[in-house]
Amino acid sequence: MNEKSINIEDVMSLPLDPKEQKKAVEEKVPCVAEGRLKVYDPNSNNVKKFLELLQSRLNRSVVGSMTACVHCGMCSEVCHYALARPHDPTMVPAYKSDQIRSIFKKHFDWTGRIIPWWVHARSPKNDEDLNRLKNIVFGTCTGCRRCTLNCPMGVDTAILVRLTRGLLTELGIVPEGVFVVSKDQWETGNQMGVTEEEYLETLEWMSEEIGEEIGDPNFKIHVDKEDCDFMYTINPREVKYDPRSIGHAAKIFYLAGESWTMPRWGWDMTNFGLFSGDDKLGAFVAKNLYEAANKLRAKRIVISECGHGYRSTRWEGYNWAKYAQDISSESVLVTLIRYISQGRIKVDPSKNPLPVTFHDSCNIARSGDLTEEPRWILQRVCKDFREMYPNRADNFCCTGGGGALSMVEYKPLRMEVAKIKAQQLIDTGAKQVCTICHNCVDGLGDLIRHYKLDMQVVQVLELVANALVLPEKKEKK
Amino acid sequence: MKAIGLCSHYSRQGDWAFHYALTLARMHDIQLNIFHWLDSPFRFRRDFVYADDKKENLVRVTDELIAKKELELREYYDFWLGDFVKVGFRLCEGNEGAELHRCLHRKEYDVLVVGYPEHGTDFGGEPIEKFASKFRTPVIMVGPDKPNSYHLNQRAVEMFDQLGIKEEDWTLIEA
Repeated sequence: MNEKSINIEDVMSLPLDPKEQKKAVEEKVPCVAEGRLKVYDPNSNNVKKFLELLQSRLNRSVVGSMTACVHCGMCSEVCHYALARPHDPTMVPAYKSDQIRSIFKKHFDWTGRIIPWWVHARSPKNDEDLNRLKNIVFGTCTGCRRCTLNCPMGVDTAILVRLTRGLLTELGIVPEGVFVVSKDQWETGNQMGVTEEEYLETLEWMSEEIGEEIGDPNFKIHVDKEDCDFMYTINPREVKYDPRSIGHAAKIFYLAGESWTMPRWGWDMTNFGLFSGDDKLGAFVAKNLYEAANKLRAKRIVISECGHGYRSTRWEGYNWAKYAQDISSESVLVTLIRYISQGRIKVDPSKNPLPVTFHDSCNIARSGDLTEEPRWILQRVCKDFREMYPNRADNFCCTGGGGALSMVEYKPLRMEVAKIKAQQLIDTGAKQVCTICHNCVDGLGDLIRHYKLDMQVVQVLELVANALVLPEKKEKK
Repeated sequence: MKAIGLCSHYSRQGDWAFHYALTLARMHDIQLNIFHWLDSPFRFRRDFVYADDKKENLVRVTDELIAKKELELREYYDFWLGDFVKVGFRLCEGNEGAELHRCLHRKEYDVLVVGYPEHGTDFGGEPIEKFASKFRTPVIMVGPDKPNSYHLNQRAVEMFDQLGIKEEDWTLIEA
């Protein structure tokens, strides 16, 4: 765990890499050509634009967090970046939010006009300053909101980080990965650029596989079926890298006798707009999904395992899209609890004998308040469930939050600060760490490989599917 | 048996697997499809992949790189293929297991041959033995110590008489 500390100036000075932006312009990618996704223009007055955008985005909650910080330092006691690098003041959440706060004070707050030296009011001078700001808000914070819960003044640093990310996204001053993923989501409706053909083919393949497993050759994952009890929405990672998780869900729904469907379009419940601060992208993605549910007259939207997807789809998306919340939505965890408690599926914990601990996803636990539900399930489907400390809303980020997995240039720093999470995992003595977020699967997977931990990442759906007791007659078939 | 799939790997065991797959394809006069992975450590960045099988350096995916990798793949096997022309090459991305399932679903092969570098090697995010034992089609792993060491999953055992493997040279894969 004696990770060599990297020089933070190397991170702060990482240049803007516009290769993918240039390529998108040359290829006339529609979202870029139509101005939905912005590219960097070195000839534009970006500082002026930045200030205008900032002014237009000020609202009560933003101004509250801008003005309330008293620099008490409490946030430094909980941030995994600050805890892993105690010698580095730039890792303190208050320092990160001060980068935008000082600009706000200079231009929009009376204190900056009267006592600018006292409140450190200042303005970005050029694009280089904006680039440095980019490296701070994208590279040194995963927006986990652990500092928010520990702030006596209620400052939401993640709001300020997201706001700043959003302003920079409007100027094209973003890490290359943020641009690439945003482009994919604008163009294909999903974060990983999965084509419709690939998506439908994966569902077909999963239908065949699960049908064989449960002994029902007629089993089918329905696409665009109307009037079902729910529409199931997933993370594109499930199609691209982990189709078995769709299979696990399908198998459970089948055994529970559920009436469900998946939409042909609008199936991605993840939303990169939450990470990039781009409300327009957020609205586009969320609206696709809500409209699909309405079109299919689904009674409910069920959200697969994903932290930021849950938060975006259940709450934020309605605000971004200005869409009436007329169809209820729930995490698949709630669906599973219903099945188990109503006896619609039977589970046997001895089928998951390894010691398993649970990692709370920030967006589901801290920002979503789903803390007891996964534990209720794990206690019934695993033989040896053990808590990780701290847990629930106090849990540490997997280090892959806030879109960090797409920003490869910041990975060395991310791995250095991951030692906090790694120690947490080691202390449990578990062989499996379960999570309810595909982002966390990759974040935890990265640090498990990096720190060479003897541990495997699993998900709730996987453990429930493992523990299923198949009805006798279906086994015979 | 209609087509053989080979997961290519530029290693000793990968070469043994290729030679076995080619022999099998010649024996049945069927198509041999060679899959090669452009592997990336990142889920969201398909524009960066490992430069080679050592997985030490990253390179950006460009049209030139794809052309270069494909040429490299063809040239690597070209000499050994000789006059055998029923061969296809495919550069794949993403999780091996998921991608192989997809190719299987597209009927690009119905028997899979893979090199077996060592016990417990990661394959598609799980130990190779686990992947092979539960895979939906016959799988033959070749290696790790000698070229005539074959490890068969249950489905491969069921069609053993078509595999051209000597009785004493195989074992059942157990995860």
